[in-house]
Amino acid sequence: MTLRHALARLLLLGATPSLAAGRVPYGGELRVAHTGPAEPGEPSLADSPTEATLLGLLSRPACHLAPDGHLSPTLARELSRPSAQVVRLGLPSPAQANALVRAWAQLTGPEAPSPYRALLFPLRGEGRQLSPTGDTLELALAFPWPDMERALCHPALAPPRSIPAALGPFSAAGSNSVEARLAWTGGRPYLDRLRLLPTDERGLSRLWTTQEAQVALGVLPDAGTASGAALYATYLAWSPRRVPPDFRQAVESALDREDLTRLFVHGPAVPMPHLLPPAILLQSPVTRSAPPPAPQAGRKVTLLYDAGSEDQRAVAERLQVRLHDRGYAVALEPLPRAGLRARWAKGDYELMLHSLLLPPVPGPALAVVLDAAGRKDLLGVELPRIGALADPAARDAKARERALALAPSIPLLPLYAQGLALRAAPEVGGLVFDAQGLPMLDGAWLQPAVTGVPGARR
Amino acid sequence: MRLRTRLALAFALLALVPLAVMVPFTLTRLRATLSRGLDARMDGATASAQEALERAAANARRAVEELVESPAMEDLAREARADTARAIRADTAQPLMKSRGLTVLTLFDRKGTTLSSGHLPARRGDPDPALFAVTREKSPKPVPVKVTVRGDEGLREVPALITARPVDYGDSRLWVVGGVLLDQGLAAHLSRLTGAEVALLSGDAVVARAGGVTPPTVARVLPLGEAATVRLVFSRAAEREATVGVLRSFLLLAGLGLSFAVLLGLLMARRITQPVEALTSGARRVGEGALDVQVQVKATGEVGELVKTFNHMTTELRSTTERLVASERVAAWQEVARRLAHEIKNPLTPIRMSLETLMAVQDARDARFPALFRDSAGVILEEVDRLKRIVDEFSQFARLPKPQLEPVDLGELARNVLSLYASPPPGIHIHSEVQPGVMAKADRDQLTQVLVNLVKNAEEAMAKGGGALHVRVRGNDREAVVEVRDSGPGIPPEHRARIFEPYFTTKEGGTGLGLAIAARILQEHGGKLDVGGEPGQGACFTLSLPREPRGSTCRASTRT
Amino acid sequence: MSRALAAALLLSALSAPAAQPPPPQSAPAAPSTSAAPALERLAQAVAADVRAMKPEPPVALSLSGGAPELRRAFGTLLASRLASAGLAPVVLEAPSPEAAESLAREQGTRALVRLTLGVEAGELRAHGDAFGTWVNFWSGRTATRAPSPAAAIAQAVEADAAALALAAVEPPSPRTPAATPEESRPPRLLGAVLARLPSPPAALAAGDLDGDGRDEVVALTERSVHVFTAEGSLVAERSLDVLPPGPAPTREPFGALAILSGPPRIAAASTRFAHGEVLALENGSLRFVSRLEAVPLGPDARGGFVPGQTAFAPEVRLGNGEQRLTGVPARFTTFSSANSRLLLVHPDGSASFFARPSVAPVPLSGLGAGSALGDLDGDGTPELLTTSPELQPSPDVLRVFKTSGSAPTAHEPLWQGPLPAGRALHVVTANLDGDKRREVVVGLTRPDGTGELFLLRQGVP
Repeated sequence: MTLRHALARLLLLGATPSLAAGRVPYGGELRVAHTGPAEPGEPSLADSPTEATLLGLLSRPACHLAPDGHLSPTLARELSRPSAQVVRLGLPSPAQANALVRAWAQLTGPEAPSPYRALLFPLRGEGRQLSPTGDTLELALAFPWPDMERALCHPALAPPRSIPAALGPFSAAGSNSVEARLAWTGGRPYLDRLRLLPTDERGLSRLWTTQEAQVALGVLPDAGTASGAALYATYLAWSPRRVPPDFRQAVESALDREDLTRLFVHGPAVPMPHLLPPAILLQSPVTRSAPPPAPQAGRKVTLLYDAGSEDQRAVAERLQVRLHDRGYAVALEPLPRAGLRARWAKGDYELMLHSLLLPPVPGPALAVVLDAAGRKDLLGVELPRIGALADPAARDAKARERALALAPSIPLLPLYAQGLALRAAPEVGGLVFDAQGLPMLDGAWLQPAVTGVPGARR
Repeated sequence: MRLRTRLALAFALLALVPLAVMVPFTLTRLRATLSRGLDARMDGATASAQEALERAAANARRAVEELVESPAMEDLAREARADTARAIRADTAQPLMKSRGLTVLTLFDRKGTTLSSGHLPARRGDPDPALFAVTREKSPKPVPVKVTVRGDEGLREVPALITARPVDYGDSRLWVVGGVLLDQGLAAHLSRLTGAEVALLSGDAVVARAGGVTPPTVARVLPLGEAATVRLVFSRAAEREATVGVLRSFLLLAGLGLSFAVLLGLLMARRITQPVEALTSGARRVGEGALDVQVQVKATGEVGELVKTFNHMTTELRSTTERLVASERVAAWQEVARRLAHEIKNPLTPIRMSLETLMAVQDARDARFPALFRDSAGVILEEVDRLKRIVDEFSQFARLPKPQLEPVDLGELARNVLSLYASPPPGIHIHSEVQPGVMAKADRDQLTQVLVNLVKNAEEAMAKGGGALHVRVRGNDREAVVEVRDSGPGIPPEHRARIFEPYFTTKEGGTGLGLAIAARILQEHGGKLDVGGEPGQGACFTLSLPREPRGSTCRASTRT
Repeated sequence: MSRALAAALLLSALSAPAAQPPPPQSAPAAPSTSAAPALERLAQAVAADVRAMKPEPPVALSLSGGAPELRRAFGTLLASRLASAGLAPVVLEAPSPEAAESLAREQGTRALVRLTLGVEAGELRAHGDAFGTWVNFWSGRTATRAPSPAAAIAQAVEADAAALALAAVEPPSPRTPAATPEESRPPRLLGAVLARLPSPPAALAAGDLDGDGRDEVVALTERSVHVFTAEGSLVAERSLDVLPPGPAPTREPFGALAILSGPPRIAAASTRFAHGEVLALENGSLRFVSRLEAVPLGPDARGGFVPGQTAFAPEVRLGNGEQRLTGVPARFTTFSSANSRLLLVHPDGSASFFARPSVAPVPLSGLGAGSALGDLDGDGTPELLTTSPELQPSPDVLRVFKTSGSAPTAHEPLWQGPLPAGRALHVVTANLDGDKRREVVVGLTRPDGTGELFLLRQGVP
């Protein structure tokens, strides 16, 4: 389902007659049930679509990318290029500038490294030596990188929601409740308040059927649900020194991505045969390369996966089953996401499932994927070549082409990409997805109650 | 070996023998009994394990049947007919499985493709021929099948009891294949049930093991088709422990019995040997001369008689000895009196004769009277002196002073005596052999007198033919010995018993009191004087002084 | 409307470059209509259709429907297109399409194209048929083919202001001068796109800024002010980005715009910025005049924003600030005044209609945010124009009511017609041609996130 369809359907959903002078009505409390945690963690770790959505309520990155590619500043008041190699962010106050610098330093620093640091790779010194001057942050680029602004809209580059300088369309008002921020750069949300109902999948459907939730985030795709772009990509990464050389063929031959997305992974998911998700790299049929290697018994490998992700668990178990036929005894080791990233940063893994929320722009997305594969060395080679092209379309095409060319040489196997599906009650209007595939709850509004017409719902 | 020991040993032996006979017999019987008990227990446990397995199978069968009949399954089948992938998800089977108490549940479509698997959700979409083969079973009973499940280190095959039921909805058919894994849980259950260590084997590989038993063990094997074997391992530890316990108590008993027997033996022996020992010591004391020994023990029976007889004997012996001594004393005094009278009579005769001559001359008024008077008076005085000497010596013999004991170096003493003979008479050679440092407590003067007497005797014995005089001083830790040996004619054996008697002499002009006094001195010192040597080859006098007050041996006849 | 004006419009339509325009999205920064006028594009499309059926020249053209000026202009354009294709067109002046066929045969043309022109929902349409009028040589008269159309032609292009102006030119008739304003006939509005905006409009106003007797249309978007001529071409644009950011911006662009009298000036305030600006149009550019603290609801009305919301606070000062409008029951989202009548539309679709500022308002209901008072028929009494009160109507409808009665919206509307896709939140009336009747300009927020100014003007009956 394309975004436009979703949008159209939402518009239709909102077309229930009611008297509102044509203006979007303000006020009301929206009850949002979701499958995410009650408290999303650091932005670089809260990168599943649900978590990123929840994070985005309270803390936004510098800018926002609309589905049509239109870029608008959010946390930043303005985003400009005083010269070709400098991106200037004008922030509401020095506190936000400092918060951004600190958040980015943590991303690139040694304590909690994250693959999203690749988004900042084109900055001089990879963004480690940033210092704001007042409320202005000047980002000097190491090489031409016209996609810098688009990359800065990634949710992982937002300041942590816990710090006072974090700004979002909402502000926290008690546990599981957020209130509209009047002074939000993008405009005060229509809703007065969002009540968040963290639950699990079962609870989601219960809350939906009992009409306790007006929006259910993270539902299974179905008729009547809307989904964002599938940019939450999951990869199987391996350490080339620790697995046999024919491992890629073994996995490729053992694993059917269609099966994975159809049978094992929740939510709107699409098979991802190439390094980048289908949303940014149009799929061409993948030719099965080499014949599958002969199964050889007795190979033992350990697969790390995110303990907090049901999908990863299912996929890890599926890999365990499928690789079993190829002679691999796969031991599973669930780790919390922070632990997983730490193991990734140390290179201490044999196999690992990586789920990354890729930016909707091919160049930065490729950078993140290469870094996640442990090939940070390639960034310095590939990104300048992509960034040298001035035309956005040519640049994106070049990034896609490089993604196709590099795929066989990096120790990373793309598996599938997921989006976020949601279900909204008929009285909820204006709920659309951004380019990142995340629903913009700040744009939602509630249909004023119409007397005499019970809130009928399918 | 002493009687007491012998008796204790005999008692101990008496106590051990029945034990030694009893223990092996009892142990053998006990083992046999316990082994029968264990066999019975193992049979029972094996049977109950079998029953538990059958019950598990029956439960699984019932659970699968209930599941198939359940409305939830009907709904599922209906929805699956419309859209299988949407109706049946990877996690559909798991709650169904868990709610029915099953550990294996797979929903297959008609062709054998896994639609959802509760035990291995990741199997979805794959065929599972091993499991699907159950659908072709004729019997409704669960059959043992090897099922692939997840393990910590990859997949593993675990035997399970599986049954299959179809669910039809219209023209579509779902297969519900479910059962129970023969896994750790079941093993633990069986282990709890049987009290044995339960191992579930698939081929040779141990799939699950539960319970632990202490060795030694014995195993029973319960085959479950081709897929699995249940091995029950029972402990023989209880049996062994019982045996060991019995053995231990036997040993304890044996130890107790033994010590009791020894104690009893000792007590008995004591009762028996006490009179005997008292008799022995009494006899020894009698032997040592204590004739008034009376054994004071309570004894009955033969031993009592013996004691009574012994006491009677000593009483008799004493009275006899007293009578003998009295008569001997009388005889001795008679002899002394005879000798003394004889000695005194001898001078009296010349005195009488002289006095009669004088009176005769006097009467004759012989002119020779003055000359004769002088002569006769001289004879009388000489004889009176002689009488006086006899009386002095007798009184000296009778009143020998108490020796003043002091440490005396016998070697030095011997050398001092011999130095008096620095120039011996011709033909006589004096040899001395002195062990240095032989000390004894003695009265120096008296001992010197004894030695001088002995040396003088030896010199006199060799006065005619000459010879060699050997003086030898030696000592051991008990006594100090001085030997005086000559090469004279020796002492004939018939005289040996008498040479220490007073007034016995073989010499002309001897009083016969020298050796008697010497023997008396040594007796006062607690020592003794012996005489040895063969006749014709010289005599040997051995002077022994105790270094300690008591004890002495002698190789020859001893006079004290 | 004078004939000279029509000629001028036609001239401007013809003189526009004939080059194929780039797609509108690729040049969003330049708010204007498509480079080629609507008539030209329609003529091109119809000519292509005619050429595709390969008619035998000469070809007769017969046009009907629409205003005569529109017919004439289109006929000229189409004829020139067909002539350049070698089809030797002849434009017939037939009283009816039926009569055109015989006329064509009389004139000896071999084919006839009959077209009906019309402006409908912002589109300029031409539909009709084309067939051969070949006469059997031997019989001389009898048509040898069935009278069914050989080919159907139906083309439509987005109308523009020029086309609309042509369509609105009334044919000179003896009745027109005699007609008095009081016995006004119901308005009949034809619509066309006046101009495009890169972002949705935040406020609209119209007024004569350059003193030529015709109003300019001023549109406020989120961050800038645009001034358009009556023909829809951009005169001037000024960004407001130099202003300090506002403390409580709204998600949708929202603001207020008024043309101040005296020396004509624009007063603009957007919720994006902390305060507004007064601007003057000088030599084709907007010049900063003064800082504006209040929110200009109208030429002589001031108000204030509800922070963060697309509404004004229920406090309105009239005149030079001393007079306060009493009886405003609630916050409102639209303010309009005409001929001392005031209309305030509240967010819930109700409205307060003040016949005079000093009297108590008449409550109305069922009004949309795109509401305005304006004298469309030139009778001296403003009509009430309003869009649909629905949140997302498709299509939105513009309705025109009389205000003379007690409850204007209770009566049947004088006119109603659909609007193009999008949300119509701003409606103003403007005098674009200098006559007594005012035209309607609707500010539309298009679904693609851009804006559009849609012009509705009186068409021929």
